Amino acid sequence: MKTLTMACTTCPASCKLIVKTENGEIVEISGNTCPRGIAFAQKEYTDPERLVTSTVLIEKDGKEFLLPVRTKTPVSKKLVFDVMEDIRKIKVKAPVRVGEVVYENIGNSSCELIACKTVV
Amino acid sequence: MKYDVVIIGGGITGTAIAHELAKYDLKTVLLEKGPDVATATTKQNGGVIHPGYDPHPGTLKALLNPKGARMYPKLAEDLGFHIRPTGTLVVAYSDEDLKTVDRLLENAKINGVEGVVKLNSQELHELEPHINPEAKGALYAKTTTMVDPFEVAVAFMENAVENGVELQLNEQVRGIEKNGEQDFTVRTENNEYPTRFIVDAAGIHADDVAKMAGIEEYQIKGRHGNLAVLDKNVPIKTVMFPCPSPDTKGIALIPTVSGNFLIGSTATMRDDKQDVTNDKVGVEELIEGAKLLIPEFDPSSIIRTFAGQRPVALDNDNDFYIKESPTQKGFIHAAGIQSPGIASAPAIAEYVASLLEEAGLELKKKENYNPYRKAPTDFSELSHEEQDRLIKEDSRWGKIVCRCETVPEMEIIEAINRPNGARTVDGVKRRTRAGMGRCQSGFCQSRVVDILSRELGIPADEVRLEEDQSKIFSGKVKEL
Amino acid sequence: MTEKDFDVVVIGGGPAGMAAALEALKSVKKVAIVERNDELGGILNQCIHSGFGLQYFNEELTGPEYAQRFIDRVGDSEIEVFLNTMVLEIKDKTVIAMNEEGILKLKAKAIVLAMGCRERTRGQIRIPGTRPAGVLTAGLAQRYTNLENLKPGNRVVILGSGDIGLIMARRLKLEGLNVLSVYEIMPYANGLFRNIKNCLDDFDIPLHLSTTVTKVIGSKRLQAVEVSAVDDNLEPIPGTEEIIPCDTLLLSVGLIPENEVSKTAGVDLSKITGGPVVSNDLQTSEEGIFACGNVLHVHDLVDHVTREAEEAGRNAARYALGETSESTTQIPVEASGPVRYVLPSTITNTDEKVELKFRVGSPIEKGKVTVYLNDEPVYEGREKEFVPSIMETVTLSPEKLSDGKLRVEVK
Repeated sequence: MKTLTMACTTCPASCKLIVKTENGEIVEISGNTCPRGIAFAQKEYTDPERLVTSTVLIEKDGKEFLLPVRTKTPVSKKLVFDVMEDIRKIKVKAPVRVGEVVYENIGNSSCELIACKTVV
Repeated sequence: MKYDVVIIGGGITGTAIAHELAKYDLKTVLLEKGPDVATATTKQNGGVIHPGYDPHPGTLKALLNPKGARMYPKLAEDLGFHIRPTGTLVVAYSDEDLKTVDRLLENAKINGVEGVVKLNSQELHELEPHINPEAKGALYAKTTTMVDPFEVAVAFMENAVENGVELQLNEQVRGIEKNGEQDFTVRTENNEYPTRFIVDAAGIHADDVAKMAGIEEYQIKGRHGNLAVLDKNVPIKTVMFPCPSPDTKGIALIPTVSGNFLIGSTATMRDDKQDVTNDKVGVEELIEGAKLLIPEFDPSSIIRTFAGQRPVALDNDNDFYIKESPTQKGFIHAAGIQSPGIASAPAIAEYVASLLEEAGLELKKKENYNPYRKAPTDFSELSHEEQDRLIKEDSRWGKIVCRCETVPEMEIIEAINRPNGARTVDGVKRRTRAGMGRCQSGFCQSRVVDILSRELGIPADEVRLEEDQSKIFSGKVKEL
Repeated sequence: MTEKDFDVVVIGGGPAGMAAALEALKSVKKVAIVERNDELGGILNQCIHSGFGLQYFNEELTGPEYAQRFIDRVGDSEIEVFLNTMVLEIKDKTVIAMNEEGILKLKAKAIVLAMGCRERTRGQIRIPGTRPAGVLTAGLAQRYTNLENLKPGNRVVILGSGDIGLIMARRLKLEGLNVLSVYEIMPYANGLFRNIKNCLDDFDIPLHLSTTVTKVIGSKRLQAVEVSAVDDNLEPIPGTEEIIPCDTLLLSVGLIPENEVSKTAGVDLSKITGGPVVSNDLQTSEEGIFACGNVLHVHDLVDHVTREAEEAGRNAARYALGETSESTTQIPVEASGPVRYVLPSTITNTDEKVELKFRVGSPIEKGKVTVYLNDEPVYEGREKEFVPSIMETVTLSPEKLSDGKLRVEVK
């Protein structure tokens, strides 16, 4: 039997989950204070997902600077560096509004990359 | 064309000599290996203008220190650098110490230093209420002043450059050839400087430079010292020393020109001249030293610790080593300039000029010599009315870059664009105090980088902290 | 010189300042925000990671997104915003500031301090060694990386397991830098557990506890750091030194409330938090001057900053309207045992429920908080884990309070 610890990121309570596994299957989850912790642990064990946040180049009035961006939803942890690979190739032009999609299917994650800031 | 004088080394001694020689009709160049003046021993210094009660009568120090100290107030006025009268206390804790105080009092008399008196315990505590209650008395030298050694060196150099002295930075001397009577060639990586006279003011490396000219009269060793910069919250107004030992004046608490305080410094001889590593034991010694003077001293007021080395000429009675080489005529040593080097610098410069004259250099006063330097505007010292007027003249005065020291953008732009202006983040810091405050450049460094990049026309990731190898950045995060 | 009158002047346009100003504007008309940067949002602008807003907005946002919601609200409001404006001092309820137009005198009926905090530096923790380029605070590295498009180095060591250090470990790793390891002098991590998991473990970045940097090596650009294990007194153990070649050292060694301006107003500061001493209406020792956010005490979550700032804004507006009466209650509050500090330090208003915020000094695996009034327990919490990185809150109902002294303890 193996024991893993996880930080549940569903809410700020940040419960420390203790997950016991055997032959690749979860046999026990503890440390959660609500049912969402169970769902989180199951997902985290089988296919963990992460929100990717970074920056892309943005051009405004001939000047180049950085625009904060993120994946709209969490992407599979395995794809995080593929997402970063694509992020490095992007340049957008102002104006951009917060929440606006700046790139689709980033890193083949079928997820959108959105702007985190309004630049007008 | 041949130079009359090549000065090697742009510390306080070299720049003071450049400032002195600028008064005469000479072709003079100062060679500095660093990217700026005063980047070694000079900047690692407390800035106390000791009035001269300390040196043993009969030494060069005893001659030059009191004289140099007396020259400072006028120089500060002419060259527009900050000077702050503070006085010095040499605090006695024992009868032994009180004897030392008497000896210093006697020294002061012989060295011709005025304003030095003995305080009893009560008078001492009235002057400095927070001082150690166990202090039995003190020597009080009323005429001690404070300067910022870097600011003084920059002022000396700027005035020298305005009066025709050449300044060559990033020029490390690699070799010196004697071609005949009073005919040297000083070689650097890429250039040659033919000259009649050489003044060796290369600080900790002065003996290494002399060796290049075949001179092995003396040897320099470094006396390493830790220093600590404190925030502006120490409850004292006078420079405070314990009683001195033969090697060092001891660990002092120093109110600086800028309103911060310093603890300086420890003293240990080092074999490695490059070693400016500060160490834990040394800093603990500083804290103990400060607590001995002010028992309530709070170490959390330390905002920076660093170290430096004073150049000590060995087997020279702890004195300066200033003379024409007996074996190489025309080669003047201005070496072994340890404490009180800052205080003595202007007198050393005059002394070196007289040695040059004795050696055959004709000193003819320059007709159009300008003794004055327009000081940079120090925004934080102005009244709100004056600040408002400046901003209305140029809005760049209205943009604060360094929040701790209230330095506006325009002050930094001016520091970059002056003769011998700032080229690096540390160059800006030393000229404007941007980055010297309690946040230690956490807020302003990125803004200073931006201004340097714009004013010098270089990409931001090429801006340096100091030397070429001190890159701050490894490139851009995102680039297509 | 420009002179203007306001009901409430808020110093600082970060999350605390914006929330305080927006809340004040609900009751008074003339509200100003003075911000030294060229945009509102404060440090949130460089915190491009997610984890913000879970409590306040019930959704997970990045720092810029969290800020944008308030920036948009301020933009749509009647609040007068002074950008690129640095406050020089507060004198007789007048905020003296400067910008590219000149010196400004903003006369206020009430002032809210919301200047945030700054990072502790190498000098304050006194790491021995040389002074090369490549040693910088984690927050400055964050600014360079996320805002200025400048890469601070290639091979990175991080000292301190505070959240900014952990977040930067992940950020730099994602941007292609080699993050070697994180060192923490304490025997426990200082950042949130989720950040240890998601910022370090996700990327196999090792965290070495009870270890610190004992020497900076390199004369021009950082070449290496020496690290050493420390004993129970946090003193380096001789013989454990190890040289780690690297070109960048990030320091995440604590935050200090930024109270230089507060000092000019004569506000009393706490030696423990570094922030103003306040009563439970968030009023400082100077009447009519309120404080909130990280200038008051360093918070764990921005959501808590926003809530606290709203309260400060509300109380400042009430004061500006003259709606506060001289308080007769004076209940001092003190921290005891493992509780490092409690806010507020006095309770003067018992009309509404009273919130006590506190932090412990070191982790307690199983503890229980008890609040005593004159040694009589008036509140008892349930058994739980306490860690220094998390701010705890206890709410007391006013009927439980009477004259005396409150003491907060964790056992």
